Amino acid sequence: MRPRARLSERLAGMLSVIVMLTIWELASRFGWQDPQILPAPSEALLAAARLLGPWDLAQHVGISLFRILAGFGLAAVVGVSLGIVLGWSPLAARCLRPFVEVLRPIPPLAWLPLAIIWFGLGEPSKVFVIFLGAFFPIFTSAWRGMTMVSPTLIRAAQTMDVDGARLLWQVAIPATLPDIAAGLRVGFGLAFGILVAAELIAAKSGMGYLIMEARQLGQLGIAIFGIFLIGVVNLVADHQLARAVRATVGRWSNV
Amino acid sequence: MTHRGYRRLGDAAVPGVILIAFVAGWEAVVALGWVRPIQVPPPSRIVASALELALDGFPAGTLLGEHVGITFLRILTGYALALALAMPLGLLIGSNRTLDAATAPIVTFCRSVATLSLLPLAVVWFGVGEASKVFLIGYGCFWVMLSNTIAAIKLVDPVLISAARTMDTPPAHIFFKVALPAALPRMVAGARVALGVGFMVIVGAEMIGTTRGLGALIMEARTFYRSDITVVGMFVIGAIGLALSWGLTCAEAWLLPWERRQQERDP
Amino acid sequence: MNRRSFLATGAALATGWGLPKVAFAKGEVEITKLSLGFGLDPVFAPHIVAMEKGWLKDAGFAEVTTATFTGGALAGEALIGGNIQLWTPGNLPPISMVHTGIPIVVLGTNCVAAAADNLVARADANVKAPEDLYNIKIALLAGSTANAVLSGLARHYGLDEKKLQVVNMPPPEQLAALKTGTVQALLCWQPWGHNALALGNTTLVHSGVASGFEKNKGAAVRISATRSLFVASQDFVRKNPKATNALVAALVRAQGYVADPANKGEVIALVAEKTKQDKALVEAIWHQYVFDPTFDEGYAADMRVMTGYLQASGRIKEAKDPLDFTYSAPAVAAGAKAPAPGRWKP
Repeated sequence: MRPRARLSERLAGMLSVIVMLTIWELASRFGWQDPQILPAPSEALLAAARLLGPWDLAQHVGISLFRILAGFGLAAVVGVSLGIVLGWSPLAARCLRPFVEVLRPIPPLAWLPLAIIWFGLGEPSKVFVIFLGAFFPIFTSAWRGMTMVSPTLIRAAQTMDVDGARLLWQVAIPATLPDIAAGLRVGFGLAFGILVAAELIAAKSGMGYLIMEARQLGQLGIAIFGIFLIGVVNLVADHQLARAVRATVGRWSNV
Repeated sequence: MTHRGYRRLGDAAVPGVILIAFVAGWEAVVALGWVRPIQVPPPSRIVASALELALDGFPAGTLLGEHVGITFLRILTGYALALALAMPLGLLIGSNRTLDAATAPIVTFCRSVATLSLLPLAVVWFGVGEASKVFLIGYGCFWVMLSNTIAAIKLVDPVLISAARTMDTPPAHIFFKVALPAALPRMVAGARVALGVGFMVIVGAEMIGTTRGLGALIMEARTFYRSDITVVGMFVIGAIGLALSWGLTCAEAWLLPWERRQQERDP
Repeated sequence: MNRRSFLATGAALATGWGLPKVAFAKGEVEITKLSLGFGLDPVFAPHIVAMEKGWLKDAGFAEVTTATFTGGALAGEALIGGNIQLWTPGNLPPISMVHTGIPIVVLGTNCVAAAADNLVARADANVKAPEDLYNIKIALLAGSTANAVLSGLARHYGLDEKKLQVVNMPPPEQLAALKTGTVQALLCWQPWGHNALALGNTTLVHSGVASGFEKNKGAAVRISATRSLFVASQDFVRKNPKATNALVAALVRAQGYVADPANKGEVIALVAEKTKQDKALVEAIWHQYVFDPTFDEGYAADMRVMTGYLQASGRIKEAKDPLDFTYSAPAVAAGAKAPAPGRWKP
């Protein structure tokens, strides 16, 4: 059983972040990096503080989180189910995997016009784009995990007269959970990464919107702040996700 | 034909039949007017546009083949660089708990930075030539491959490691002969996801300093409201991705022969 | 356009129209919900004014929303999808759309934005004569009105467009590239020209309407045909004639208000607030936008220039005449003049 993260490990994490930020700050201050192209973190924070009150910030974060969670949730449900089905049944895999692999490489930005025409300008189109981003890593991990379930495990269960649906639910799926968990975390990160593209669809608020608007208005400090915001919210949310994963799966696996 | 031969034919036929049925159904749905062409261009229109693209080019003069070739090269370069960097780094980080804990926040953070956000930085650091596009593509691939490689080595069955230790295997040997092969399947899966991400970012990556390339083609088609060309572009990207994914499967079979043999034993 | 001629135009407009001739009767429109495509540009001044003054509500549109697109052609997709009813693009995208067979129609000319296109170069690039442009890299957004402007410049000064080194990228990256010297000039609409000039060590090589070359400095040379248009789908116009008339009437009225020099201060403040731009910036570039609903020869000519650009660059094959997809009747009914009216009929 894997013990909870030691204090020293948590500190190591925080330390590296602090080191990175310091290097960045110094680079801007000492002119190694042009501050007008890449503003220092302190400057980004100041610019944001001037323009955004805490309530505005909460609104931007809130609406983006809603979109991400909705898209990710959908992707998780569909991705895991499809991955399990395709991993379990070679016939299903032969039929459907080509479709998945054809759709996988298509850039979300290419989907935008269709997303607008199919789903309109509201939340559904944005959730759809986020779904597209998060789905594929989740599906791939679930599918791969299923195909990689140790045959020894399967056979052992079969000798104990566990077969069919029971075999699937009580043996195969639990064995796949670590992979599913890893896939979920990657998918979650990509959902955040796609947020900017998704919020190009007539968004009036949101972290991605913040970045794009700042881009249009030439406010680089705010744009950097927006990138940070997405990253930090992702970190916090990912941490929660990791905790949930460790609570369920980590009992027997080194996740 | 032998039993195996029939099976092989069946293997190929099933997705083929499904594909044909799908395309036919699609054309019918648009022809019957259940769906407007603006919502979903029918396959006939897509084929016509594909021909136009291949023969006349869009904008006139830049043929489809040219777009494909350029993008392919960019993706391959960015992807290869990303993998070359991410795999050793990921194996190293995944094997060492402190290193993993230290870098975890950075990896998670960087994974979430959108390509569009990086455009100005790419221009400043790498100019407007091929380097900036390769950077943007490689960036996306790198962090995903890194995460997957770290997970791959972490998920190696500890029993395997312990077993090797009981046989007094030196650590380097454990790593290269036990842990690495055990991690390979998941790493290949990660490579598959990373390839997808590499494609995903080409529209953003090809926004700078070029009008040639599939990503640039899609932007161009969008700017001029040629939704049929957009769809052709999407299809071509999908087809290339499918081909490369099949290539990965072959590479996987070559790298991991023991997996294949196991899968063949339990159909 | 210098101040004297601008004031003269403003006075002519103000007296020429008089009060709008359309009675704003409430509740006579077919739809009550209206969604306007919106952006962060001074060209949206009439929309802002019409909404602030409640003229759209008076016309019967109880619920008016805006859908903001920070760039890209997505607003056009939204129009096709029926998600917005009014689109306000530059004059290039609608022409592309029509030639792709998408049934849209131009309801009005919002403003002439030729002066807002600017070619700004680094001082150390030493661009003094048109031929110097061959030696530098120019950043612009491929396929945009800026590209058409460059074509216009090449045409006027006899340059070979193929020999000009054009680097494609979106406006924010153009500014970054100019700053670092990766490119030596950029050609863009506002506020990017203004921001480029504000960098210091940059010069205005040519604007859409005036030259900065040494040989003819200050001369009025029109190389830009950029306009902002009011566009709707033909379907919408056919199904909702009253709503179309009411919408256009409100916009024409707003255009008059915006063009009136007496309201300049108020309008600038409003625009700055709603588009989240700096007030000083809006004030500095304000004179570059001429709001005028008149369908004159200038409108037809500008549209034909853009169509010509699309043909020359291989994006469309057979040119359609712009007046065939221009519907000027609603604007005329609202008091605009149309010496060269549109030929489209619902």
